[in-house]
Amino acid sequence: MSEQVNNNPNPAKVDTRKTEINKGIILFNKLGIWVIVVALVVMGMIIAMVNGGSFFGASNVQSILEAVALQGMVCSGLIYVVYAGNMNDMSIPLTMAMAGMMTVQSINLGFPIALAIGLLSGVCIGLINGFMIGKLKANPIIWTWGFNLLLSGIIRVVWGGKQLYADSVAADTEYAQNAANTFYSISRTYIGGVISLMAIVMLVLFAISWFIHSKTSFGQKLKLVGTSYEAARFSGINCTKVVTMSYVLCSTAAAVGGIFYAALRKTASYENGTGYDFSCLTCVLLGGTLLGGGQGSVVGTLGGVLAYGILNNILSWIGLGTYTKYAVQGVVFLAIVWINTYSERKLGKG
Amino acid sequence: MERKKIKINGSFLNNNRAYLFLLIVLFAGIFRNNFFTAFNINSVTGNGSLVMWLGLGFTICLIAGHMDLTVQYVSTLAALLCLGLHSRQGLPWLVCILIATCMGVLVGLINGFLVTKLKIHSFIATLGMQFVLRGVMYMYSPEEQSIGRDYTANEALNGALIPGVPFSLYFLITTLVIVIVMIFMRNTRTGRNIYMVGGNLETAWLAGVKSNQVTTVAFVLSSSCCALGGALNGIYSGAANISMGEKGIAPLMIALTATIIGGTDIAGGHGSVLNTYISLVAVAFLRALFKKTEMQVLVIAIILIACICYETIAQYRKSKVLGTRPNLHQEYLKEIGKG
Amino acid sequence: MSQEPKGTGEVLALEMRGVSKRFPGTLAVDRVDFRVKKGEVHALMGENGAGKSTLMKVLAGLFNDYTGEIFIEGEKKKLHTPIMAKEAGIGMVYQELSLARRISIYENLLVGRLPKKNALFIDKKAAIARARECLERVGLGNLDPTINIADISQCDAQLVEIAKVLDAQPRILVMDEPTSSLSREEVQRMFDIIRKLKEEGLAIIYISHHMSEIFEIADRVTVMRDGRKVGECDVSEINTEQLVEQMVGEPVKSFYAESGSKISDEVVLKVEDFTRWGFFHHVDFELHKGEILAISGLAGAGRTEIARALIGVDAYDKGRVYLHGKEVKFKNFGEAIKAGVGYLTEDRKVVGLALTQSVADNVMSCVIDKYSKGILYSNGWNNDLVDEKINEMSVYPADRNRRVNSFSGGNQQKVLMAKWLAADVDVLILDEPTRGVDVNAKQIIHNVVKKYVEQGNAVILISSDLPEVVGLCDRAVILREGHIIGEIPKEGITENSLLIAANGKGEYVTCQNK
Repeated sequence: MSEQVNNNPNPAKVDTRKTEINKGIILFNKLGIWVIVVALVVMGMIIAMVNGGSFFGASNVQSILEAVALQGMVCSGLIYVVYAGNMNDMSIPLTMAMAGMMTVQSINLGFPIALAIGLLSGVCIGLINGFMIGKLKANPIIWTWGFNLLLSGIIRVVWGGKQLYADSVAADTEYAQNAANTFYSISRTYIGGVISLMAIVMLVLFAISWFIHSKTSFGQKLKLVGTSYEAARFSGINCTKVVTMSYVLCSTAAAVGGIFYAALRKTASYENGTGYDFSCLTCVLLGGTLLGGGQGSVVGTLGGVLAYGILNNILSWIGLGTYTKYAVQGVVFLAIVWINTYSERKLGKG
Repeated sequence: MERKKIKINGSFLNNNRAYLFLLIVLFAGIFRNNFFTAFNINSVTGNGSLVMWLGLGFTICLIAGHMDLTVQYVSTLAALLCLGLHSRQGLPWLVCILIATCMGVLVGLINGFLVTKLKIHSFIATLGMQFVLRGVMYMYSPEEQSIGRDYTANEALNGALIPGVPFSLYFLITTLVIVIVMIFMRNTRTGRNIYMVGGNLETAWLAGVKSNQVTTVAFVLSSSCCALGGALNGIYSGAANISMGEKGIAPLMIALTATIIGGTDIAGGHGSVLNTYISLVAVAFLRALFKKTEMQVLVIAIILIACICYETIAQYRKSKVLGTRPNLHQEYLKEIGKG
Repeated sequence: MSQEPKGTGEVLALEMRGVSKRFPGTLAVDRVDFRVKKGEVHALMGENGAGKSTLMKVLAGLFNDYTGEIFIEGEKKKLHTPIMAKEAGIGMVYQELSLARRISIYENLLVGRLPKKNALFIDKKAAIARARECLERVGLGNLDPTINIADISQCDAQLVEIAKVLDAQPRILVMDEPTSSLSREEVQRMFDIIRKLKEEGLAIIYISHHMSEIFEIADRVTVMRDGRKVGECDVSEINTEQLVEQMVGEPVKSFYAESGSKISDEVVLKVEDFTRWGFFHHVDFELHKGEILAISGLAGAGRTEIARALIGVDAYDKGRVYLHGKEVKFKNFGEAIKAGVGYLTEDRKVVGLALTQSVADNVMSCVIDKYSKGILYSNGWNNDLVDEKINEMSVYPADRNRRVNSFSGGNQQKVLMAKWLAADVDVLILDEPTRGVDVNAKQIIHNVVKKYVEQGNAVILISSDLPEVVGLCDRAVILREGHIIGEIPKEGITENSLLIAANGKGEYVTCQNK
């Protein structure tokens, strides 16, 4: 009876196998999304062909890029928050709305200044979030969610729940009207007639984001903070500063998105940006960033954004309505998150 | 044993802040004309009942240490289903309500499965379910996005059950169910286990509590309550549409706010269904107090932020002195006394 | 239902015969025989890593792959899961409280088995009555069982924990350092309860580092060393010195080469009246160039807290710190590193290393600012430095891109050490630098530490591994309950003197605090 069952016959062997699994998962996290993107493109081509259209037609490419551009802008910042291990920034929708409102409201000062004010409002929101979460260690989800509601309340009370139109806010001077027109045009400019300025801005933001992420000391610190907050603290890294910075970057990117959103819709209101908190998180997770933080890449996030856009495009080709798509998106989201969580467990976190 | 004395101090006020909130709102109501009329009270409590169901579900899950973001969509889907079955298939109301509630149970089971078996963080898992439910909703009623205009049973739910008491039947049912759930949470083993799993998962596990099962029960309870509430709300208002209850503020947001104001611990293991209910009644009256949605949103948001800040700062302060040694602490007090 | 205390001692409450437990690489418990009589308090002594907690974990049913036989009251039992251990009559009181803080006492006591009134409802009155009974047993009869754990004192919570374990009617009670967070008066209360339980016929296994406690409460003592049992006797037959000798064994000499470091008179670090209320009070010491200074004391004496305050992670309330003669006050750890003070943390898994990142990321983690150009930074620039450091530490495999969690424990610790070598600080605080690593890695780390001080740096060593302190240190200050109570010069450092001084006794204790 005393013969014991030995569960660990050969520890060394178990160890090597574990690293093999790790390698596979790392590879998936690095490249997986681009495989999915290519697969989706092929799928899209076939489906488009069956439907008698062209997947690579100028109009289709344009619509895909436009659809994902706003999301992409926000994602290029959101990745920092997720990467730092804080799950999601729930105040994204109202950050977008706030940036739009501020820009439109100050359009009389001229377009560049209005733009700067819009961005500044994003920075401020990021600083407040960063202070509460980085310094006082508030629960990141609950705080940003509550703050989102507060911003919503402020916007609604200050502007009386109305929508703002740049051309009516602008004074009756040529300068102000020009500014309003410039504002409207930023979302409607096409370079070479095909690629919209929004897509370019998205790519530029991703380039900046990639640079910050992989070429600066902040990016390196963020990596350590995301992997293990305590280990980073005991390596002399100022974690409060890093977390605050991640929220500032996120809110600024959201502000850029919000400004373009307001320009695209020609109105600024508290409803701008509704749903962006969740859909952007989908893209980031799709791109292989782990929810627990410390794993993921900006390039992967771009892949995630594209995959999301292409998936939506394909669903339209199939003929699903905007709303029916939700169900498919939800299932895809859950599947991705499951893989994500699973690989996280295998990597020894969570 | 000496009887516990009630001391009115900061912590007492904080623990009962839901009641305080309600009192303040009701007090403010005195200064408004036509506030305490039977009609007003009836309609305020009736219209505020939907979020009470959502708050109930959200609180149960938060006590178990999880977030359930599906509450709002479960209730909306249930309302669509209930009215749809009645108007399209012609089923009797009770059967419709039953089927809608069963749908809630199913959603709860799926949520529980995602969280306990696939080990997805509840916030993310229920977020995904939100998308799925929204999709299903649009599939069920694609064109009109609303079903109903059926006021056959509406009268019954709207009318006051007891003459002279200005509460609609719908509100009374809501209250009754919340009291039942409260008794369940307080006085049954499963209920207490929900608290235990949220409070300290390890303790619960070591004591042989089946934590996965308990968590799933919490999700099922939450979803089925929300489904029942949603179905009743559909009948109460006579119509159901996809943006049900979304007048001004997302109901989910109100549910969260009320749960936090009610004092439920974000980390789980502490809280009361009743406190959430009280703060939701307060929110309902508050919304009647301010006619403008904007002000409602702002006031609710300020209260929520104040509560979060209060708790965060308390936590922050506590973490500063964590782990002091009692001997040395006594010595410190002595030295300070000297100096 | 209560067990009749036989008192004759013919049937042993617990008998372990030839119990072994192997971890990958080490034999943590090596054929240990362990016997506990009914109605006795049996102390289990040994240094850190002697295998006593592993042995107790076997008893608690946390391993299913131990070998050997365990008899409980003469009956042979298998203890493969915590439930099996519980059913066999073993109750463990863990060091860490496993109570839910915002839930009432009675529910914490009766979790999972609240009495029922009928099929549906629990019987709250019966539960409270039962809880009161349980509390009475541990002398908390006048505590209201309906208040929350968060609202009672640490001592009461500890007693509630014991009451909870007792409610399962165990025959053997294991207490692992139950007094570590209690004040002196509270310890006395705890002892009264233990005596009472003893009279009820319970067998109690008591683990503590505080020798005075052992002599006060225990009847018999078993000493373990390096996974083996080395002695067993009645407490009345032994004194502190003999007990220490058994725990320490033959002095290990050969392992530590004579250190050739020259200690200069130059004071690198000076600490005066250093105080963080409630953690450590009025601490003074000096650290010289080329010196390895041990801050010695029992676990929980405040050693780690001093280190954390010194490097600016925690704020301190009073006192001055001089680095190279200049007064400094670090606002955060980053400033300390810049000024040249490093701290190797005691728990490499949680606070030491970012386990899922590569070796290079970890080694460079505390010098990111130093090697960045403006805001730019890339690990690739410093590959030479990383390679140099991991070769110096002989990390195997020497692959800077490998993820840290795929290394063995010893190599992880070497990576952690390499990180601090790369930081190029001149005062390094080492907190348990060799805990849980194999002998080989230990030796490498020791050699590196020696070489490091020979280069004119200084080291503060905090270690529960006494041979390590004896072999490495040039001087030791003794910390007891947050106060420095004495100092041992190089010649006087032996395992015996360290242990005795840590317990507040012996020739080196100069200022006994009240």
